[in-house]
Amino acid sequence: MEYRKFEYPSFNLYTVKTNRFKTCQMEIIFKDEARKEDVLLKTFLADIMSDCSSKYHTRKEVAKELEELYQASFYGLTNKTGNLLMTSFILNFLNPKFVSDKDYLEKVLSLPFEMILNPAILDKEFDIKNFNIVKNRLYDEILSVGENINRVSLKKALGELDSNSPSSYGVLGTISDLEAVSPKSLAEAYQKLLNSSCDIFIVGSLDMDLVANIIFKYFKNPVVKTRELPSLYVSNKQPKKVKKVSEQSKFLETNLVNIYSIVNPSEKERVTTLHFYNYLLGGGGLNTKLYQLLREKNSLCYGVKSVYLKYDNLLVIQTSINKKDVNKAQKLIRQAFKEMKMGEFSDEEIENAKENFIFSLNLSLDNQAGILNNYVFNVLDNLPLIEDRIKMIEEVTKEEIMAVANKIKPNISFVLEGEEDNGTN
Amino acid sequence: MEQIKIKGIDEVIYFTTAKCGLPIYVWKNEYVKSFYLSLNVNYGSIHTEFSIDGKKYKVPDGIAHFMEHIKFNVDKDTTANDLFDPLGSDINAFTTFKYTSYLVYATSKLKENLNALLDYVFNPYFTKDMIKKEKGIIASEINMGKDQPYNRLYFAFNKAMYHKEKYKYLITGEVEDIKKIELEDIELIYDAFYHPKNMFLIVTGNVNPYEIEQMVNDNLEQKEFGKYLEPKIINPKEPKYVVEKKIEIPFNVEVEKAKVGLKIAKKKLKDFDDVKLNIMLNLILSNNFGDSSDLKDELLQNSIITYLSASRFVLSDYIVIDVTLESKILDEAIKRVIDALNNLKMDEADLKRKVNSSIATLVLNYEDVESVNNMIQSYLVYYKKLIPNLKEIYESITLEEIKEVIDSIDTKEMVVVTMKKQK
Repeated sequence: MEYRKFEYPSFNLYTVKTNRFKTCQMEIIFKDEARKEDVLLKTFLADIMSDCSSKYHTRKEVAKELEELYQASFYGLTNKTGNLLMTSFILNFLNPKFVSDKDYLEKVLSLPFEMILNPAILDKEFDIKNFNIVKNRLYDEILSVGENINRVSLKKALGELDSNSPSSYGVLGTISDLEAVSPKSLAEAYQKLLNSSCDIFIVGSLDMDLVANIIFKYFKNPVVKTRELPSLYVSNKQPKKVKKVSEQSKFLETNLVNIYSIVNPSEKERVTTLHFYNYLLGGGGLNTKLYQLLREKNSLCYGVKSVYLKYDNLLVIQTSINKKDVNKAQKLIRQAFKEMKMGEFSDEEIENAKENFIFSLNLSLDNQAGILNNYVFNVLDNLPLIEDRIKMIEEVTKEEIMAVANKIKPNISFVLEGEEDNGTN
Repeated sequence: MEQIKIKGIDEVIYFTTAKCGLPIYVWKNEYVKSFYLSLNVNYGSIHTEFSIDGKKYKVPDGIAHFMEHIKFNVDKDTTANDLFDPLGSDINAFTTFKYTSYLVYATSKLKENLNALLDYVFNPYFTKDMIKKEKGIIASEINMGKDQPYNRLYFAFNKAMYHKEKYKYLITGEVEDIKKIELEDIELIYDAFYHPKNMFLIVTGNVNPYEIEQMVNDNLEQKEFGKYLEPKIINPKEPKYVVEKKIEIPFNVEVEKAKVGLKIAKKKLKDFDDVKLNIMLNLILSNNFGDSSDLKDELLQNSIITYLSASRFVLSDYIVIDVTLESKILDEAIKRVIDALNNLKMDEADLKRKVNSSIATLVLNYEDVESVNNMIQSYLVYYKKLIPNLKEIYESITLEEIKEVIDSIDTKEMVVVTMKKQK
């Protein structure tokens, strides 16, 4: 794989040339500080800007154009990563060598810039019809979070964090946030989006000099790119006492979410050791401490997982259980933490974790999204490239994993109580 | 080893049969590091009634999925995870209506992974204790499924559509069904269906097909397989008419949803084989309900829907069409969908655009080792063979044929299931 960087006045272009794939992927990323008031606006923008433009008036016209471009796909999304909001526009397309049309590469690469630079704005307002379509869709999307027990429970649990912490913001916002958005305020948010830092990443078996020329030809964003961005990492406050919250719900199952703060991790711990800790605790499939204790030995649940939120400095445990088993589950979770602190895991388990991380990293080299994602965080956070991370993984020791266990402190315990009580399992 | 050339898109699938009768399919991609193994059993949730040598058997609903769970036990102290964790690979399994699949995803140690997969699936270790323990876990999984609105909507739709077809029952079974499962049922299923001749192995990724064949034979020659019992599935005779035309489900739902479905006798379309029929129905539904359709555009523009999709299901005697929507004004949205089903359309330009983009998708499909493996599974389960001439089939479709299919679609046997917010 050949990595290159092209610098232009209003964006940087990062390319990865590889012949592994028949398709190519381009990602145009606008990034800015995560502010609560911007989150929903950026989500709205990503949707409406991939649905229509001044040239393609409706999603139908965009869909037809994508079909003409040999089933290319184009969509926008907004992600919150630590302290940053990233609004991305993603294009997937067939490698031009499979297509007889000689202008295919230029046609397909120009589409996202047509959509980004010429949105459906007239008289400083977004087109009302498309605005309403996206608003209705987001309205339903916000409401449908309430239909999924895991999403409701996780959102409510994270919402119990300090309200100024970006970790507590959901990318969808609330219905009242949505009601406050107007075609005019959205057009203003669009101008701010163009003002944010922009990077473009592309992967594929392509002549990257030609790609760079085409992109520069079509992406004439007049805004200067260099802007100071905050650190990616959120510093969440550690409470003196664990906050315990319980709510009733109409779901059958009861959902349990425990949030833990990770206090002052080192760079190495962030990149490798905490991933090991999480893998052994509950992130690594079916032989983890949590899975073994809650499911295999006590049949309390179908699944239980822990997730390490690197850029939020948080660790989250989530499971669905019967409501009579909450205390027993909490006791077993505490036992799992204790065992991790005491180093009650074997060298063999650490070796297994290493093998699995190396597998995951190698696997990410087999898909464009994985390659691009790694490159994005290499640029944003100096995350070592995959080849270097594999070497770092080999060096992690049991003592380091035990040491990082002491940096994990309980923060919030949230229970969403369901209605079903199956009796004894 | 046979090389099956996928016409027009420069791909090859290797095929052979192991000495014990296990069919093996291999797709080679030397540009990636990963490989994906699936060992599949032609046994799914709908196969609960069968006969062996004329003797009839009936087992509890949910048993195929139950078997998939307990199959992970290798012996009293070992599970499949213990075999694969040292290899660093990812394993999983799933059960569908028609088959069960055991999966391994890895980037190294092919031989060890393949051996571990064959060793744990072809290992009839079952005890009463493990069956008892698994019942609690599966009860939790069943309740999780019941909390999902689309899962509830889908099975309510199937119950309204089918009198006898077992698609109307949950793949997991109900809690009451799995309580009935006994050790003897599990042993019966294993003996009848977990035989190499009733299974198939698919390997996709950076592998050598000839080495795969050798590895499989080396492993399976160490195992003893009894005579294949050749179980015969007893298929119920499904009436032509639907069970209920209209159902309303009150549910803990924030966004109201509905499904509109048609049951159409296939004899009206006897000129087309299942592959071509499936493709043509897909083109028609995509043209009328997809992102580039006039209907979806108009319903979105007028705030009548927020979501719309359509799919088809080709069974032995009939076709089922399923249109799903989300709307704040469900009744109006349903009316518009029914109108559209009564007035399906496609012109020459639409057909050309849809066929060209579908052919591009055929090329795109041969990219990811997991997707290719899944695609081969689908062909083998639904058509019992690979379809190497899909491109030719697409290119052969004429507007007259499309119109013939459209003319055969009527809304006489229609189901409307609405999911409304519980009061």
